[in-house]
Amino acid sequence: MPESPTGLLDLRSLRGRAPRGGSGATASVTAPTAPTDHTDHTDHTSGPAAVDTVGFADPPTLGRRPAVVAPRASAGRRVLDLATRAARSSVAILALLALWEVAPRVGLTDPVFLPPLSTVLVAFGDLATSGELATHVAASLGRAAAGFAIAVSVAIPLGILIGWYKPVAELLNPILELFRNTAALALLPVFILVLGIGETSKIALVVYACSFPVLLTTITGVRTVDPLLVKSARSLGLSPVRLFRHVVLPAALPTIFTGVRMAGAASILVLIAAEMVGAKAGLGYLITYTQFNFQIPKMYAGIVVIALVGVTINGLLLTLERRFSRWRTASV
Amino acid sequence: MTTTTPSPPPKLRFEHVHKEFSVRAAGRGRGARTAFTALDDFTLDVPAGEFLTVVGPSGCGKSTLLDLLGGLTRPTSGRILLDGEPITGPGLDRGVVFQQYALLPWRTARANVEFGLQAKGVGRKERAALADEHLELVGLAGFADRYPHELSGGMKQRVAIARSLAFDPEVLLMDEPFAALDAQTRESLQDELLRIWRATGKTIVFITHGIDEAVYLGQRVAIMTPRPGRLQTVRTIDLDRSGDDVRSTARFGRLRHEIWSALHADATSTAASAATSAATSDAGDPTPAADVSPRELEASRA
Repeated sequence: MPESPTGLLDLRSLRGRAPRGGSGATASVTAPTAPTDHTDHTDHTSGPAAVDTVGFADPPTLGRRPAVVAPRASAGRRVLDLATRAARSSVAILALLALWEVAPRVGLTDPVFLPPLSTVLVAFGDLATSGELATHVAASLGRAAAGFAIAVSVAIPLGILIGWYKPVAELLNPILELFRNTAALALLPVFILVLGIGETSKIALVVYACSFPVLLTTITGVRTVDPLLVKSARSLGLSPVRLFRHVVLPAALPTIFTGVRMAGAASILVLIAAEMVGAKAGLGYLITYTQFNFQIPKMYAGIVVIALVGVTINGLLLTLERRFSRWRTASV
Repeated sequence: MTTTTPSPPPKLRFEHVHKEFSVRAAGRGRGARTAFTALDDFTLDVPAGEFLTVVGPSGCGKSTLLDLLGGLTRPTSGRILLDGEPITGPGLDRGVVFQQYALLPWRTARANVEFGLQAKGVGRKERAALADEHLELVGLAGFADRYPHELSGGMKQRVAIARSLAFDPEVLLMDEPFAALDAQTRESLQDELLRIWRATGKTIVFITHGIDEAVYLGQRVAIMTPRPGRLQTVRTIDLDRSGDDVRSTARFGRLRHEIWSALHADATSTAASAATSAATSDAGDPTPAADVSPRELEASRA
């Protein structure tokens, strides 16, 4: 465990936040002893059950409820914890943003090609108030969501078939290997030629790019289900369908979700590229259009929006994943 | 060879059960296969309510025997009768407890116990009640909402036992259930199991490689020898278990030694025969029971 590195980072971030006053100031006062304390507390709150079941493992406490006496952090303590954690995770970003603002102003970069952050934010504000931004975001998200949804609903069942039935795998594997190793963007011209320059080709490209991560992780997930769980379920006389629903699918779900998250990232990635080539709306279009028209701050605003959209999608999928696999980290 | 109880019909009857697997023939090129006898002419009756332990070294066909009982594989010849009916597949009239617990990690202890009941088609309300009742039976009343990863090895095995008892099987089959536990936990679970057995009156077939465990738990001990897996002898355990530390009594020691001698005598003789057969090249790598189940699974998937 990276206990000491986190401790160091913790210290540094606390110092960084000190001038902001309030909780930051108190934190910096307690800083020398704080780091180890903090890690301790997070450990306890995340897994009190695991800790005390070890102690109360067997006979002596048969049938007795274990005394759950995980040390509870006081409310103030917890706020402080949260504040330091927020500081620790945002310090690098804040530094980057500061650099962005300062570098063009002091002449480290050409302010025309890399305008300071504040200029970009103004452009961002203009885009947002004019409604232009909403149009582009909606166009992009609509395409990404459609392609993503189609990919997931096709790739998961297909992956299950391939993972579970050997003959299907033998039949489809060569084709899958071939397509998997063909970069999605290399096929963009083909998609446009065959499906036209409209929505269909863009959504199709997203479907293509999203399918493979989901497909491959689903195959792995289904194949790596603990054989003992299958054997035990079979010994109960479970029908194949119920075996699947109650054992194989839940066991494979965490692995499948990894692929779904990768697909989420891929959907935006290829879509932006597709929109750069041929579109009348969308974030990719916004970026190329503003570049050609030398509206550099707007271009950067578009890039920032794409980054934010990507982070948001990943966050949403992570939350969903946690909901589905709560049993892995759940405490009582 | 067999110790039949004449008057009541046996709960379980093994009739000349024989099981062969086709395994890769070592050193005979790719694709060459040879028959490996995992279980040879196994004949035994188990009366209702008996606690039978099966002891033997690894590779003696214990686990194959259990897979056959569980209906996960079929004998090459011979048959197994449960209440006079031949076993043709898995079913809820037998409950299996595995060494590695086989709990579903995404289900709480209660939901794991309910799993078998779900398979049986028991209604939701009744399911919860039965699960709680059986968790209490195994001493886990307060742990119903815990996930397996929040339980110790001993507790997990208790949940597994509760799961197998909850759907009320005729026979409980246990495949070295305590082998992965530490000595103290094992002893306490052995006592728990005896208590549960007395309380429920189930017929139990308990497979182990521990002689102590076999003697301590079983009313009878079936001693098996490897290559091929054979039933060597069945020893009735006439042990007074009312005392405090049964394991240190002279009687226990004698019984233990008898079984040890039976296994040992056989081990030396098979070692000798293995040495001679190695010369004729067929000893190879026997890849016994442990390797068999995954392959069987593969077969069922294909």
